[in-house]
Amino acid sequence: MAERIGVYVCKCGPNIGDKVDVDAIVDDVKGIEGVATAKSHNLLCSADGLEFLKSEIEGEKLTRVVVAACTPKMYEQKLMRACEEAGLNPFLMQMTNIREQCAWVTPDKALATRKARSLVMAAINRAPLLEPIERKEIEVQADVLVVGGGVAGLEACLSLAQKGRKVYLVEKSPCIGGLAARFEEVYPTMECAPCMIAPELQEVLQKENIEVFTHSEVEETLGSFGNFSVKIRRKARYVSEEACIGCGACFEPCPVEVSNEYDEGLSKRKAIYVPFAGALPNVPVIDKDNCKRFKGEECRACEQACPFGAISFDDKDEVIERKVGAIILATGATLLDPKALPQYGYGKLDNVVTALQLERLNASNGPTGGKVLLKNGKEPKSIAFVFCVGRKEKEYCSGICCMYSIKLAHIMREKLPDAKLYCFYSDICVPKKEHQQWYDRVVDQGVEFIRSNGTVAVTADKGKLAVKHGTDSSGKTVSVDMVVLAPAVEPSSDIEKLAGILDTSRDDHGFFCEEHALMKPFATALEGVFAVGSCQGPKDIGDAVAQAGAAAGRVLSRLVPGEKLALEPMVAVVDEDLCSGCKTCILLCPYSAITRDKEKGTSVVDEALCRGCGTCVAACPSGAITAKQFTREQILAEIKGVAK
Amino acid sequence: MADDGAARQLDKEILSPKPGIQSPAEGGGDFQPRIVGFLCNWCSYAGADLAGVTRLKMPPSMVAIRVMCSSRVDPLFVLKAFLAGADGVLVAGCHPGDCHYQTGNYYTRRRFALTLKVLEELGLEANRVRLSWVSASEGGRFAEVVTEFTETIRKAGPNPAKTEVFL
Amino acid sequence: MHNARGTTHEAYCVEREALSMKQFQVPRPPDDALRDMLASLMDKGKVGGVFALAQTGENSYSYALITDKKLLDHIVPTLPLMPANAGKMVSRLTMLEPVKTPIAVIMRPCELRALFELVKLEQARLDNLLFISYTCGGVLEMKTAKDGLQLKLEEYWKQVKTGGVSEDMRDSCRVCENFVPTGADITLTLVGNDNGKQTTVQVNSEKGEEFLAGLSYELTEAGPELEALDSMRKKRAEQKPDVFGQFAAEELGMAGLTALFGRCIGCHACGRACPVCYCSSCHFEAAENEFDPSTLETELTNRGALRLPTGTLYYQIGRLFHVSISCVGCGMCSDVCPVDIPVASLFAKLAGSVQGMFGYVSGRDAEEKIPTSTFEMEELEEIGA
Repeated sequence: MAERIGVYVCKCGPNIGDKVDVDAIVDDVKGIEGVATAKSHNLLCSADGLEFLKSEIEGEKLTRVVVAACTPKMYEQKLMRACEEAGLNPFLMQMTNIREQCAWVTPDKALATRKARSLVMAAINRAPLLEPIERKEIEVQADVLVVGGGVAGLEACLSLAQKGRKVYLVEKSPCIGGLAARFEEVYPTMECAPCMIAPELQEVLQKENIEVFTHSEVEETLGSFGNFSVKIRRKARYVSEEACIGCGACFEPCPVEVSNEYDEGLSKRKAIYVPFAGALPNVPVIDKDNCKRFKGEECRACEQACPFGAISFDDKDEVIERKVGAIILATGATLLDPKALPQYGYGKLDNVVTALQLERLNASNGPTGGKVLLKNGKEPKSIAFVFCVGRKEKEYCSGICCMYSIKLAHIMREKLPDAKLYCFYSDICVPKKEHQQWYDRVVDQGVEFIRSNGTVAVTADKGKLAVKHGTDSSGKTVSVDMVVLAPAVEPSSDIEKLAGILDTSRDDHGFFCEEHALMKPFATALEGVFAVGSCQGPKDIGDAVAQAGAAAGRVLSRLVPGEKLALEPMVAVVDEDLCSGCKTCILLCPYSAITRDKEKGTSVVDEALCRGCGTCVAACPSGAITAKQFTREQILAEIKGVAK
Repeated sequence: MADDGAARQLDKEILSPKPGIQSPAEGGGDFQPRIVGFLCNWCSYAGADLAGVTRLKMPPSMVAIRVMCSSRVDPLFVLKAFLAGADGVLVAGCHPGDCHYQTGNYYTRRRFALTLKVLEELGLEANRVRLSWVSASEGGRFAEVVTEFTETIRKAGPNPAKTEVFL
Repeated sequence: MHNARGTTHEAYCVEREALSMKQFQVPRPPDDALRDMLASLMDKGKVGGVFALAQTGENSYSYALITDKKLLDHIVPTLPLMPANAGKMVSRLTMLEPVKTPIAVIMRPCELRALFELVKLEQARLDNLLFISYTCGGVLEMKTAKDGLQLKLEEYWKQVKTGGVSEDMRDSCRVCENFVPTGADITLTLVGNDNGKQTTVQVNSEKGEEFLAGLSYELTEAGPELEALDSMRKKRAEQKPDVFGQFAAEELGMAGLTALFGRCIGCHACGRACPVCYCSSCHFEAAENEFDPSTLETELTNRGALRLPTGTLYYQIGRLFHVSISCVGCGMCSDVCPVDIPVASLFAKLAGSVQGMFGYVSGRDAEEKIPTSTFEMEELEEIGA
């Protein structure tokens, strides 16, 4: 059947009408084969104009519509809806822009008319090749996987866990709460961190539609946005979460003592342990690598001590499968190991500690019950804080170290009123509305700030520590009892593995790469996979929580329980008969939307992931990929319309 | 193909326009270049719109073909336009690093480095093909690019493919 | 963005030296040496078959996969003829599934490079293949097989011995500077050797060493071939003005190209013979390209005449867009051209420029990414003004 094309040229009042001879164009195209009718209208986007368009489509039984008007970015959607209301598939309308890109930039009316005519001709040439596109919807899972149980992960869990939606929280350590649970006070409110997050932890653990997997890891993810299938490895805990009441009777008899990583190596723990007092869930775990029984010795000390029979050495790893629609990564961060920077003496000199170690010394649930002590058990009389440890090497400012060091200096000032406190800094980074005042306050409290610009070197000095700063000739030395390093924030060690499992990209610094630094800082390029908190870049608690909330909002708006998900209509499609299976498209796709059908050896586009950029289409030498609404034939027809 | 008739008819129409409307190729003796412009939807098409919104002036030589990303532009489109007689082909996209689709324009850049090299080596006046980065805020730059490129083409003269008969 | 490995012949030599683990001499001409070696490998069960150029009848030569040891007599692995690019042939053998038993594959450097390029494009698999290659003196045009081969061979081997260039060679061979194989497990150093008497064998990989283990040959120091290789490289560079001169940009242009391809009969044999033209269905042969009525009509109205077959320049230039990044300069396209259009020389010249821009040598390394399928964030600032 020959197409019946209706051509409508909008005058846009005087905007086009005065600059382009609209009637001449209308007259000119009328005779073209396929053009059933051509008319002008004073303002197509008006209510009147849209009604006119609808009645034309119906009355003239049009199969294609060409609209020459303003930029499609203004009213294309509106006009498409009008087509749809008139029973025409909205993708059978071709718009061409004769206002912004013609009438408004061409003062000479004759020339503007010529150019407008070329544009209209190109559109008419293209119109018969347009194809109807059906908007697809797919069934989706509204449930969500959250990886990482720090503050960001907790926020995501609580925002998402509502009626009709389950959230699965996977945390690699035996307890949830992340780093913040191990701080005594947090800035800028200087409130008790465990008190602040305890209600959240309780809620997450108790809420019916949140399933928490501690001591667990994500092992595999398959599928895509809306329909992921994930495998979670719940590592054997050897202590039943159901039977254990958390009395702690098992710790004492355990004959093994190892360094406690949750106290940054400042204390010892047993092979059966909870990371720190108050850790939740309050269920111990047996550290298989250090337990005597797992080294082949006959030891049942903990099992015998447990009054509830909660310990089972036969416990096995379990692999649990769950279906989810989205994945929120919140795996947090860690601090650079300052051993890599020998000038600070960390790991070699006593009393050179990281900020995290000082946090633990300061914590009531820490190794000293909150007493800040030197290795010899005495209180320090002077402390030097060294900022920007590793900033130069990492080539980024972590943004939170100044403020947490200032916080620690403030706490030390209160705790050790007579101690001399120094801060060696390069640049003070205290943005945000509350931070500057803390800096001013510690300066007032007599904390001495010394600009050392990364020149600090720490050496042993007769039982004390010599902090040398400045260049060689003008270098000065300050003698202190304790040095507290503020090392760069880096992604936690498991990020590489997780990125591999998810096939999501990381930036030059190893953090998860956001889709857009400003507009989509919480999303990754993989649709339905979000990265929030410090795994996306160094962040303080407030920022991590805000980012988690943003990602959760995105999930809430797109994955609604019981509702289908509308897909991008203009996607790429592979003709498997033409596909040579060279995988070029797979390499190029920024959204990992193309996979290889192993049976057929050809490429397949996942319509839930494709965003229709067309990178793959132009790269395919066989012409096996088509971009809907931007097909080769359509574009060539447009070229022919223009280029004669 | 249902459209053949229409297209055929159209070709005739364009080649023998009715009185009152001249085709851009015959602007009263002066050579009026005809440029096909592939503009990415997010940056360059928006930049072209902005040029209009701010009422900048530019030669009416370039007719835009909208694509979602500059990486949709198959170098064969450029070749086709060129062989069909376009005096110039402009491809414009987001600045490197700003691609709406993350990495599309990086591939565009490599593809066009290749395309331009082939055209250059074949003596096909590679200066008739231009790749430009124009952001959505660069209305002024868009007008400049079109003006400059039109001037380049005007100096180069009509596309020799138009006069070569047996291609 | 330039690859640290460099692109020159010198770099190859360095690489080759680095790879060369052992070298020994066999007091037999190369084909005989190879037959002996392969027969022994087959006896020991180390390889189940041999892929090599074979004489299949009088004046008939083609590649063959031989699994019966008795038929090894047919192989002529160093005979300077290339009836097809062996890379493409091995791609055909391995595309659907990898070879299951070990096969010794003997191919020229450009064929090996084509194969590696095809591996990147998922068109071939290397599993269970042992690669034997040699420093290559080039090949003669295939039609030589019909008559006068013996005569031309004498001159050919003389040139190979001294690192010269034989006039009878394919044009693409005359200017090829990538004649030292990369990625082979075993390399015969034909260039610079007296190939009538002896064969120098280099072991380039652990895999190669494994296969040759148990062959009792005396190890030798590097022979005189480096000098000959240098000489060959120089002489080939000298050929460039002669071979490439006609394709200077100023000689081409729309008029020059129309003249150059004026004889083209549109058989697309060049594409079919091309090892890196891998599409299972050729875009340029799609009906929409060849017979689109509206285009035909436009052409007629525009130009007053229509050349048939249509789209000749579109095909040739389009093919340059598609394959110049992977072209290995083997010369198959010219060899199969029934109307003697020097396609290969044009393609080789452009491939050099295009690949050079990205510091790329197609097929140098099966792991290296094809430049158009990857990018650097900071590069090509001159592109995109």
